[in-house]
Amino acid sequence: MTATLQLALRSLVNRRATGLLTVGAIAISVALLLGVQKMRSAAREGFASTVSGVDLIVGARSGPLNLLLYSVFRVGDATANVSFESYQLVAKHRDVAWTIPISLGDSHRGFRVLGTDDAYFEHYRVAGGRLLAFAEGKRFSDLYDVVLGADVAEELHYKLGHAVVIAHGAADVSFTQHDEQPFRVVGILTRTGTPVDRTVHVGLEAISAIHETAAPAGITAFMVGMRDRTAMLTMQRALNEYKKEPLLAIIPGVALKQLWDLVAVADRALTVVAAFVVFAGLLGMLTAILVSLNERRREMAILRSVGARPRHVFALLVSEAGLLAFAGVLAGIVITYALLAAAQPWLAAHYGIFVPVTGLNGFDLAMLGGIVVAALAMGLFPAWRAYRNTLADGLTIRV
Amino acid sequence: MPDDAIDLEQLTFAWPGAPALLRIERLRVARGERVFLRGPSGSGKSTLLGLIGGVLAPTGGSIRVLGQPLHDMSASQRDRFRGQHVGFVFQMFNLIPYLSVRENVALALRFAPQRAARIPAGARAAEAARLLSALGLADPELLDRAVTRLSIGQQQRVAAARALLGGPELVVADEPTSALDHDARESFLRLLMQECAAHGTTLLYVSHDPTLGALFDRQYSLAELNAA
Amino acid sequence: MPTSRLTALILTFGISVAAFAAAPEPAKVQTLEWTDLIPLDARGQQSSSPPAAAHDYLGEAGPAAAQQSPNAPVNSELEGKLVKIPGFIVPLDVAKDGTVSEFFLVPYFGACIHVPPPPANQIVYVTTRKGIALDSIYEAYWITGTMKMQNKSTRLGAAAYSLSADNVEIYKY
Repeated sequence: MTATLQLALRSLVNRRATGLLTVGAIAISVALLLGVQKMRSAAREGFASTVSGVDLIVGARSGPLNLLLYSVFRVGDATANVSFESYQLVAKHRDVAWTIPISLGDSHRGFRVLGTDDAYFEHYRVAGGRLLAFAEGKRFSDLYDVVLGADVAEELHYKLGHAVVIAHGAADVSFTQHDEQPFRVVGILTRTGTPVDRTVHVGLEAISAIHETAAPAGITAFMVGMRDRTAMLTMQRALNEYKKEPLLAIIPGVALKQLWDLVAVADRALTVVAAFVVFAGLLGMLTAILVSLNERRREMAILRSVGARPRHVFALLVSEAGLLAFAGVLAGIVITYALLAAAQPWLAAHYGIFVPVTGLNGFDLAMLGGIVVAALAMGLFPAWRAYRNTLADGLTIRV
Repeated sequence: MPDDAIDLEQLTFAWPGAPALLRIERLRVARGERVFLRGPSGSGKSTLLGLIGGVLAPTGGSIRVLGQPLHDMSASQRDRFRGQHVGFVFQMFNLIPYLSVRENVALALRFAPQRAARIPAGARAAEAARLLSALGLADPELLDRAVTRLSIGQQQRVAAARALLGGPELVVADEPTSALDHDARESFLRLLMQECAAHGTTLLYVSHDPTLGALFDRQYSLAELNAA
Repeated sequence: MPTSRLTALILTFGISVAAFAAAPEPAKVQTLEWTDLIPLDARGQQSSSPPAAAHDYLGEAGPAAAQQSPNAPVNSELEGKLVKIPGFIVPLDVAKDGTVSEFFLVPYFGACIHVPPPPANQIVYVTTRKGIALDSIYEAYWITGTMKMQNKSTRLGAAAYSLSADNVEIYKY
């Protein structure tokens, strides 16, 4: 068999130009298919890890996905606020272990400003169940203290003690600056791979100080940790049916599942398209081999004359198909990882999603193996043609 | 009684649905003989060579090559037999374009383990070089050259080296020199015959150039042999 | 017929009859009413209808009313019986796929949220293999399974009975 493989390899190297094009076509299609798989699983993992440890998220009544997006991913805006009274009602409830209030709506040089309190640093968990940790400094204790996410400090070159001005409104540049109240950086967090990295944190009271109101008007949303999960659904229902204020309570895991269900159709369609592209790539390979058959009839006759049996000719052609596909798959894997590595920082910056670059799991390998097997199966057709030809041709060319 | 190299008796061949192409009552070639077979293209000589080589099976009669009854063997057995015991040289396009000279010659041993076994593994390259040299291609640089960059004459010598590597008992040459000029033909033939004589190899040489016939032990005309 | 053959035939026949007679009958399912969960001697004192008092889980007007009689007496005749009982679901946890497979089964709608939780002997702690979708839990259901006298205590109250559900069906009026 190795004799045949060696011959197949030499044969392909001889027809480099066509071979490289074929390998390229397969590589691109494999990269597409693999890329879609990786993006999907990475995005899901990234999303899920951002909301670990939170039992409920409560905000003003809007859509569940909307609430999830602005409270956790700091994307989009809330439609209304949650009154302080309603928040206190839940914060003081006997079945509630902790709550984290958050207030959004301001910005600093393009980064969202989040008003919160100590509970954020005590209970908010990121990927792997880790609490937030400080690279430098500590939490806010004074009114004008600011804690920065890792990316904010890095991109704006802020250090501890730096003076920061916070604008009202969430535009990149706002003209209602509040120069009289400069804030001071007292802490910088370690990198988390979540939207926390791109957030500027201040105390809740600081938000009302920015808006020059006496007492906090309300908060945007709050996160809840129950004492145990048995009362979680009852709490959720009670909040959703609360008559005094239109509220929405969501279970992050369930809301995420709704998000995935929403994109599932598009996701599946994308996978089908990618599979068709792979098929097209393989068809290109098939065409290339078939076209070369005619000019190789003499080659087959020569092999026959030195004692090669028709099955050797058959094996030669199937091996060529297999080698092309294998090379294409390997190249495709390389392309996929190169693109993923390049896209990772862009996605983190624009969507707050950290896409971890994971290895190839069992499903991926099975899929790639399936592509090579499909190529071998397609190779059967020209191999069969060549087999028949050598039988008919004997030792002479029949042109 | 020692086996003849080739022994055809009442051999008939017809393509399916066509009238008989070949009908030969008797043809015998003894071992070590050098036989010239005169026959232009289209007279069925390619078919006869295909039958002797075991690529085609006769529709009637018997073919014995080196004592082996090819008419009784399966296609796979005939292929194996050909690889072990017969070397071929064709009129043109003898060489595989994507292999070097060295690799083309080595092809002779690739599908025939018994033939390869006649030369110990370490000595094969040396033997191939020796054959090429004996056939007039002594330049060692030639060994790794791409075959597409050789002249026709050089290509034919490489093909002959391949046919001879591993010492097959029978060499069948199908108009190997028609593309060469007359002087080149004679020199090629003399070198080939020298090598065959040194090893007792039977040579069946087919050509339409009658002037070469004198160099052989015996001559036949296919037109006279073929009763079809 | 030779004697050995006859003996073999009689033995085979006899064993088959015995096996058939000893085979267990298919279990009978007992359909329950909620009053059946209250032991006979306590039935007069305890009502199984929803309490009239309004309940506020969030406790805007002070702390919400706790469960009355978390130690209510149980009807031990129900232990190990295969039963079928209709009721409403108070979910206790939700799985990643958004389904509920752990809940309290109660006799009236809105328990624990708008109306106080029932006494412990009017609550059954149910677990199911296949979860119920979150948006379907406001229906009434028939739950079938083997009843056990096993306490389950949660923040919402205590259940005196437990049941692993073999079958869950929507209650049709």
